[in-house]
Amino acid sequence: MTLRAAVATEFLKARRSRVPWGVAAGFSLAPLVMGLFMVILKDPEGARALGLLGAKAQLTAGTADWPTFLNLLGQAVAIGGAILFAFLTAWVFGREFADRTIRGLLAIPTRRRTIVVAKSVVTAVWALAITTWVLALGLVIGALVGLPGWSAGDAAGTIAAIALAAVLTIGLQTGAAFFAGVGRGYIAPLAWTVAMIVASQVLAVLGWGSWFPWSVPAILAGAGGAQVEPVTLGGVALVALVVVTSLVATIVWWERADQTG
Amino acid sequence: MNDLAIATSGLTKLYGRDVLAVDRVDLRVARGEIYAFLGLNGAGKSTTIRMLLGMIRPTAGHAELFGERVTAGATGLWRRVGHLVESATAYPELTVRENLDVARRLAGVADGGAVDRMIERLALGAYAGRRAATLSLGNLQRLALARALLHEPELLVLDEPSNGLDPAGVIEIRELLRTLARERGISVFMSSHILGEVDRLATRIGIVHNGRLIEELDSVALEHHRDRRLEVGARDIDAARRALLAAGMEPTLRAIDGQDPRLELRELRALDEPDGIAGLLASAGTPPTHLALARETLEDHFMRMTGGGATAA
Repeated sequence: MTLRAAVATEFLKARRSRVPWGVAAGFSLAPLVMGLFMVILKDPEGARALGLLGAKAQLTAGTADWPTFLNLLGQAVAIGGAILFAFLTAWVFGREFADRTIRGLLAIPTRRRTIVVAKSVVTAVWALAITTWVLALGLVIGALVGLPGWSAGDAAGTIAAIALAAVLTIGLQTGAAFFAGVGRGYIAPLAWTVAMIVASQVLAVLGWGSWFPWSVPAILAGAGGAQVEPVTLGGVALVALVVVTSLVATIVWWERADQTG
Repeated sequence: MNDLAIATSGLTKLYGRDVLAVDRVDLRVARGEIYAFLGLNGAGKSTTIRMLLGMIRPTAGHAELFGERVTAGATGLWRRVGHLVESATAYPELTVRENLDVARRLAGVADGGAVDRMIERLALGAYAGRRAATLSLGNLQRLALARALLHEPELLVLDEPSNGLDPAGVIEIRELLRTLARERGISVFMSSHILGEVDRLATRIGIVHNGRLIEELDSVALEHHRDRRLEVGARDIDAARRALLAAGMEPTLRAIDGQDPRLELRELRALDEPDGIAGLLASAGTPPTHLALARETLEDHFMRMTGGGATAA
């Protein structure tokens, strides 16, 4: 059967479920929180008077301007996205095993690889839509706060880097998709994601971050600052290799593993 | 054209090194047949069903449906097969109609009216707009059956199709399956724990025990294999026994908890003419207080074949 039909059914399931909407709502908090930080940074005394900042607290996010704001937003997309998109992936793939609805996806005229690709497409499109929404919301909030230092050229460059980081983060969810199958549920993909985030932090500190695929998106988005070695094309190629390998492994698992759930 | 809907040859599944779930099972299910696959929990029914559907790879042997080897990717084959594996499941957040529409699209059925026809056929009209999460077990089972039938398959593989249905629902599904087999030549391969139901519906029965197919009978042979007996009760059971022995019969004494002991006769003479036995006992001065022809049920037969409920290893 056609991929189109499979994608349509996966979109229907995602639309009707709470988890994808919860992920969107959770991610929407990022620009709101960043906007709040900017308000505080612009006027710390005013924020203290309003009770937004404790008497002795200091914000070290930098200065209240567009470059800082976009940098923070980029990190939120890369690091927050790694966690929240993993929830989305764990739901789209893992729920079939947890709810035992996988039986309805086997021994049917639609090939299992088509189902896997359809799920990947829906996860990616949903995550991209959320990212676009979060960036748009960020721009609106930045404008409302009245941040200084706007440069269309710089902003476009930063947003392009954030978009690339988001695409790579979304691509890396294929690993979570694989573990949703192998672990037959939600726990394994989330555990895998946590393990990769911890490993990426450790390797970034050790100076290998730009070569560790799960560190690459965050570094691209500006996390780590000047101390971290910049990402090269080789680092991005490694991410692509992990994405393709994970997708193939997921398809092979769906098609060849014993389905006892 | 292959006349067999299902054929397996030495079908075997070994989990790890020592859990032999299915052991060299050879099945033959003809087109239009309603084949009941019976066994205790853990006997290997579900594993066999999953191997028939390409969900589990056999360790040895193979399965064919309509003469085509079963593989997970045999998508052409799955157009001809509808299935319900173990408990009924559905997407809880989708309505009954949406669940069926998802199945319709994935089955490649272009006709959207197929969903409405199945809703009507399985009496789900009142629930069509309700989310599956709110359905009773019986209606969830109806939804799963509707999904299995949606693409008008030639073979139905059903694991416990009557699970959760009320008595009226059990009869309704029985009649539906019987009609599909009789009028459309659809083959049905089903497992069931409701042996009375199987007895009424199946044209052939296979009993699996500890992973092995230990008996296969059609309904005529099953009738022939059934243990039939004449049960005799009398006030003086010993006198009645002596009278029957004197008449050349071989009565066996059967003690039943809380009841008077009874004699059982299996001679054709006794089975064909129970009135003659009544006359014989009356003449001997020990008239019968109870005289009844008893027939072994499928349940009795099943328990006899599987060792009275000993669970599989």
